[in-house]
Amino acid sequence: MGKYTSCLFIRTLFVLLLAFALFPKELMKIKGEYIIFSRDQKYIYGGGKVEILAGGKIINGDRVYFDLNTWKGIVSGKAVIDEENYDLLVFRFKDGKFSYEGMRFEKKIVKKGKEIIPPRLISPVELRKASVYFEAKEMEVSDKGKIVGKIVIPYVLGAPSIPMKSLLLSMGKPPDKTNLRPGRIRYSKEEGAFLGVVLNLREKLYQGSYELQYFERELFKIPGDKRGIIFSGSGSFGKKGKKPIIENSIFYTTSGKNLDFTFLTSKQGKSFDFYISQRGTTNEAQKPYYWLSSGLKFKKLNFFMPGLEVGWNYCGSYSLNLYSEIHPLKKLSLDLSWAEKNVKGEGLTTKTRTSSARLSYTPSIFTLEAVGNISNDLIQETERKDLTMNLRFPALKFLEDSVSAQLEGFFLFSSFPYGNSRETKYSPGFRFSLDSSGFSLPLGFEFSPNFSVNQVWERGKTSWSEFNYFLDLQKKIWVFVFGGDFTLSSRYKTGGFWVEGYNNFYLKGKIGINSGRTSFFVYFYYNKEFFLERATTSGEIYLPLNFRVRLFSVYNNYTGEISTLEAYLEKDIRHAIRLQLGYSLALKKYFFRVIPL
Amino acid sequence: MKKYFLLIMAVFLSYCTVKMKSLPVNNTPYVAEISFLKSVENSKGKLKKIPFKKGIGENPVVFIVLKEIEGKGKLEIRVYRKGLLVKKYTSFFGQEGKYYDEVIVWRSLEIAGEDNYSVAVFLNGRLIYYEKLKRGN
Repeated sequence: MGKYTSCLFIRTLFVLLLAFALFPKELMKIKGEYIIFSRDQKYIYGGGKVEILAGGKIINGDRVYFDLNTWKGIVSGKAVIDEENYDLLVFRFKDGKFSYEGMRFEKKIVKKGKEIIPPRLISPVELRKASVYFEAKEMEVSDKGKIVGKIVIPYVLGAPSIPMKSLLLSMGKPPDKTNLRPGRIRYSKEEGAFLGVVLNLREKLYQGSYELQYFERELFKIPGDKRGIIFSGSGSFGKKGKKPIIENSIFYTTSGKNLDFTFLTSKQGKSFDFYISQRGTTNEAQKPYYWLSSGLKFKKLNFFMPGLEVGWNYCGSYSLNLYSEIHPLKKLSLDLSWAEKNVKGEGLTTKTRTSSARLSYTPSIFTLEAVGNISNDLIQETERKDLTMNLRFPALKFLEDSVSAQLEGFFLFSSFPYGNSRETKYSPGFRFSLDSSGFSLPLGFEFSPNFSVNQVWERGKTSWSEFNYFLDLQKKIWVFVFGGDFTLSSRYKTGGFWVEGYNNFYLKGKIGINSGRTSFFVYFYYNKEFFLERATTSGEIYLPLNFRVRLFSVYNNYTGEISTLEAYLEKDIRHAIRLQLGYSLALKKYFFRVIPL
Repeated sequence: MKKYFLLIMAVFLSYCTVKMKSLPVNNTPYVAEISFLKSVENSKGKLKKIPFKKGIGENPVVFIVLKEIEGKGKLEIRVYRKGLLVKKYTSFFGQEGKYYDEVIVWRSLEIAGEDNYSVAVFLNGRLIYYEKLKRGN
């Protein structure tokens, strides 16, 4: 009995020690009137009577910034630690140990503690731009980055959800050991809902990450497979922390019983790169297809790097590619390749031979790129030739960079079989664009013109010209704003005596009031016949007692109906909640909303 | 069944949810934006920020956007060189009892073309921002 008890005791102790070693330790606690955590940026900001418990010390201050990427933080305002006052306190955690540097800004900067380079400062405005963020009164941060919040309001895409007393805000970094974790839960209107588990393998000879997902569509009335399973992931054989010997990836879904997998082994040396890969794909509709490929590249000489790639499958298909990268000068490169491909499928056989060259020359005054291809179909005994050349000059900037002009020349050539004869096309041309950021005109008008022209000559005979104009004109008189956008695109074809072409014309008018925090605009959209297609309104008007009226509407002149309308009265109370009372045409009802801020 | 479900939900919500009064609210002002510019042009109420081509040049204009301020404000910009105070600039704004969602302050700093400058911004006597300047052209 005694032996049994001692055995149980040792086992319990072992489990407790293991739990202590594996579970994250609390590193820091932040309390304050307002704390925000952005999961995207891995950043915490706290403001208002902030109290931080870290390294057995209590720090008080006006605000705190903490970067979970560098494990560094800043306390500003009256920062107090160990009964000493500072204007600024920079702190950090290194290997779980807490250290700080205090600073006082008097006639000189008085410092105490070992110098710490401050982290980046991100304001709450930036943090609130994250797709997911949390506002709370208290946050506990563990050494693995796990964050638990108290009195939390989660925000998803800027919209607040139900406030919670306590919530796990971040799982933190997973331990570098084999583990099974819940996967991401996600939903989209197109794909439905997904729920899964992730297996992270961190063994001596095998590392990888695989996810098993269940998806549900029928519940959300989404067409396609009602529900199913997706298994995906990648892994590698080889010693942990060393270059893997064999890498693999897999994707399987019950939709169409589709399976794709790849095995790859590669070696990158000083003189040679080498790889062998086996790919496979199979699904309900097609027979399984496997492709074995291998490549070798010689890279001892920097200016000349030839290589060979071969591929094969058991049905008799093969490919062969011989190539070379030539860099005689730093700004000049020439890539040459010769390839032969023979594909044998179900009742289909193709055999092609392709020779191609790519030239790139980039001195400081222009960029020249030329790509040429000759492709032969060895079964049909036909040949296709293509050449593309592009000469681009850097943009010229005038009037304090407010106007920029760019010129680009090109030449396109193609020759291909067309019935019993050959069709040959060549089209030189140029593209010119003029962009401006805007000018001030007399009488207070602001004018922003943009212009571009494309000119193409086909076979030196037919000429295509394309002109695009975009003009924006605006004027403000007291609080009233008037303006308009004008877009004109023209395309002309000149062939001998006749000139063919068309113009596309759009006009948008704007009239409204913009006075500090109150703005109200009406936009008019006209087509080329000066017919009013639609009119939209948007704006907010401030009323006494901090009430606001917000309005958005779209009027369709073809149907003579208002297609969208939302109008409501809004008020914020103590910067904590927002009340909205209004009418929505989409919902076809009056609404009353309470939104926590 | 429905009753039990509603009862469980009511207990769950009363446990999870919190009172409106105890929700996090930010009443502490902060710097939402700070930049050191070549110049700032005020053209009929529209601000145009002109940055330096590279880094921070001589006599930069410090452009500060403060958020969520209540009442009167005294903004002090202290410029230090090699850790010693060389200049102090003070600006006043606001009225007692009024709340400002945003306050924008900009002013030119007389800084010669040398390194080792740092800027500390104080709002009502308490440090709100500190930065070591990296100099450019």
